[in-house]
Amino acid sequence: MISRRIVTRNPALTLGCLLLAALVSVALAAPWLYPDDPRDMVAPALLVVGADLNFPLGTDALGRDVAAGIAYGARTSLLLGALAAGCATAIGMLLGLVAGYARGWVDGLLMRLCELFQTIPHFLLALFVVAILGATLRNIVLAITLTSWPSVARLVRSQTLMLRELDFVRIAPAMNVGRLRVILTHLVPNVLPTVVTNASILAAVAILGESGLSFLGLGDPRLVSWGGMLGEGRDMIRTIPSLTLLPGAAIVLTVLGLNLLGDGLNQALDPRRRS
Amino acid sequence: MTATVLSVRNLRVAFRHGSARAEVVRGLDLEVLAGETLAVVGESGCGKSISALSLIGLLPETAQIVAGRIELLGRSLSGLPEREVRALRGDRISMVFQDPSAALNPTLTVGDHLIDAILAHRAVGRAAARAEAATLLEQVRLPSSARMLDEYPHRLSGGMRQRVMIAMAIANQPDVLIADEPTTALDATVQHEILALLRDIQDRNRMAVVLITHDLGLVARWADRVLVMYAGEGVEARSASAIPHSLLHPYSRALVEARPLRRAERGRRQILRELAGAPPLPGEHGRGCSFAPRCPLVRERCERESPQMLVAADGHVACHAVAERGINAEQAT
Repeated sequence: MISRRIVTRNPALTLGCLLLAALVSVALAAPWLYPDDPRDMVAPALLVVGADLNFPLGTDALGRDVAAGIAYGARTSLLLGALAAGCATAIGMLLGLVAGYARGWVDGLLMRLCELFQTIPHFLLALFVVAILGATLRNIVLAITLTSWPSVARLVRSQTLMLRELDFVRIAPAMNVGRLRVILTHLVPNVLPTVVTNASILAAVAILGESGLSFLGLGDPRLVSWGGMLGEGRDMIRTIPSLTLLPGAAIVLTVLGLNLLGDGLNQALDPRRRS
Repeated sequence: MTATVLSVRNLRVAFRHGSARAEVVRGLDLEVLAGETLAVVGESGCGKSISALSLIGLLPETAQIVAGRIELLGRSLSGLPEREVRALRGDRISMVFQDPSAALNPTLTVGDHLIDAILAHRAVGRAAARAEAATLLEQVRLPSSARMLDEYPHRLSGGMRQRVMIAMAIANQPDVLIADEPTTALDATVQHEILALLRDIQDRNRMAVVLITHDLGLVARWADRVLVMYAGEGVEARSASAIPHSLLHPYSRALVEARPLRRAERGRRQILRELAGAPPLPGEHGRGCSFAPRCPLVRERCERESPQMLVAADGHVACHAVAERGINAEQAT
């Protein structure tokens, strides 16, 4: 569906893809570039950037290689972003479509459920889930999914409510089109551009959420994450700012890449904006 | 004798809001013969679109058929299970809508629309359906190229979209096509082309057309018969050749007079004559004729008793005044 011509005419998509491709290749190459555990102490502590060419990005307070941390952090962040955004989008889209298409008490029940989750401050809910279930990647994904599906459901529901009043959905029964087919051929393709765009933003929010949890020491202790590095580097922010700036920059680039991707996809998936 | 393909007897449709009920179609009778065009005319809100939607099963959730019998090709739709009714829709009876831009899914190509319409009723392969979609494009005089099949609706003009809608509607060679103001959203020249196209398809497939419109000029030119509706009832069913000067019902005559005149016809009456008053609101019909408060020929009987459709000239008219005059005329001769 996405031809080369479209990619060149869609700079946001191209740039977003390039940024994310770079990050994904760093994430994939991490075990090959740094075969050892990134949490090993490998060098004197607090080497500044460029002081030792074996450790180009320096070392932290415990003598761990910052470059290795960034590379392994990319694995954590991207995996978590993709999982959390994927789960939240899948759940939200399903429930939003059902609520908007069925309406009536089904809609009422699902929307009250949404409100139940939306009235609890998101970060507090995530903290609560991780504190009770334990700080593992799975539980962090669960916590972030729990906080972000209602916004997807509401978005999809509102789009569905709008679409079901349009003639091509209204007349579908007169063309002998069943309900499931209406949902699959008329509703899903029309909400998809919005949902995909939203998913890339959700991934960015998930990465920021995980960074927040790690910053507070609730990240998965077996994994290196950018948020965790940021939290540990905070004490040295005045003496060695690179310890916070580097993982921070990694987060910024990832979120930027995801936002560009979302914007580009929105344009590429909507036939009206393609030409 | 030509076969009746669609017949409607005493159709009543009501909207519900809470416990309140408002009847918007109040005992409509109509009959459509194979290959003919029946025009249903009347002002906005007279129930013509709602009647059409109830024929094809697209009433909004708040409305429902409360009485009546709809027969398609001699089979009563009310007795059939939902699954069989659905199989008839889009196959034996289909519909073209007013606004072609809203009736096409912006994420599907022209080909997708046509192929879906074909596959909804027939078990043919996708490639065969695509080949058939190309011939459908040819029938509605659009280029039958692969490029056209792969176009998205937003790249087509209004007239082209309406042609695509018509192609979808005739995909399964229906016996009855309901066209609800098919040309209102189009400009005059395109309107003419679309109607000529419909007529052409109609002649080729022996398809009956129910044309819903408020444009009497259009009816005189394109329809075989005309049914005038007022406040949810049919008031006059006549041959379309009765337009403009031989219509009998005072409401039909008022409709004709409310039409702007061309220069040559001026002098006979003022350019536009408006009809004072407004039709009764749904649910507020009295016992008598619903047109009585606005009728120039109103008599005492009209307030008491609702007129029945009686044979008059080449059709039927529901009007006490016309009936009496008819009797008087007979007595005089």
